[in-house]
Amino acid sequence: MGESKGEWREGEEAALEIATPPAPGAAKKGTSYEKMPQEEILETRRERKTSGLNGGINETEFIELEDDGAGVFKPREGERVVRDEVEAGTYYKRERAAYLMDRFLGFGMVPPTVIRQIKGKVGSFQEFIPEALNGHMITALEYKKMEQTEFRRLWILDYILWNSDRHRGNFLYKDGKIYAIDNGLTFGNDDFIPHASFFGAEIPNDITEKLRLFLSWEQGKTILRTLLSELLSQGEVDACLARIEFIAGILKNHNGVPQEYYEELPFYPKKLAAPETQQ
Amino acid sequence: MKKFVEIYQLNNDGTQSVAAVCRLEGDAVVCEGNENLIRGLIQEGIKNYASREPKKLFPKDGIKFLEQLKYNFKSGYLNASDIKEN
Repeated sequence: MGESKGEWREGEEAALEIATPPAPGAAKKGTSYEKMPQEEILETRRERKTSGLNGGINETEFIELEDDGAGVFKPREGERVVRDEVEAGTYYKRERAAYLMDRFLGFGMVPPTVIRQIKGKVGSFQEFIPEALNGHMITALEYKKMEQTEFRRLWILDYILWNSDRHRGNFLYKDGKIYAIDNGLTFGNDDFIPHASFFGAEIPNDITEKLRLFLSWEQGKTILRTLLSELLSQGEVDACLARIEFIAGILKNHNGVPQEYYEELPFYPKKLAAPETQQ
Repeated sequence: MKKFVEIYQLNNDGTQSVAAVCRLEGDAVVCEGNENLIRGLIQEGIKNYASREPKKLFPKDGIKFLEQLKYNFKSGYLNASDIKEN
């Protein structure tokens, strides 16, 4: 598909299906992509009730599905210009791409997200998380509890996604877990301002291990590249995959991201080797 | 005529309820509603999408704060209205 120009073309939906055949193996050590059951539900169940939501710069709808299940639908035609570097009309693809990236890495932070046509409109459709608190609504105590783990995981994920839009309004909290939502402003070469306080902080080992596992999985990288290439420009895909190698290299050597990288976390790391630690 | 913005919370049944109302009072904004949400707005502020500077906006910033709410609250779970007047 190449460049994502934000135009929905005939056959595009079919192309997405071809790249995601239902086969065993999924985002494990398989040879093709296997959808999560939630993705199947979001893609195939008929809508029972549609509620247009008030407010927000972009159009959002709450969709209840037959036989249980619900999601938040963001139609492409309801996208408005928020940032010059990320074209309106492409956010819905970026939402799906963010989910795929998260799933292949095994971070488990982005709710299942698919691209679907509902009542003639194409958009992203993300699983609804009931009883979740918006980031603005969590207490200081809850926030503190998550600082050591969940927020650091999100911080690394947002670098990989090049998410220029993470703030308290676009993550959810439930049962000690963070859900990364509103991922439309990702992957584009936009201003990315990483949260300063995590530089120099220890990053949990499981994050480093997940990155290592992904990078050792050649087939998975190929599958993911194919999937992302249908959603993003080639340059955006290349840059994203390069960021994984770059950040994994830093974490491997430092168990965190040293302060010196505050001004230097690149969108597209051309040279992947991070400096070795002198220890 | 007073300018104000409503912030809607998405309920489990797909309905929305007003979680907070932020009103322009003189040069500053005063918000009422969900305690944690209001505290977050006051203490943490919101992102300014109109600027490339990382500087956040707070209720004391008045109309700029009000204008930026709908950009910050757009996930569906919490959505902010356009500026209304009454």
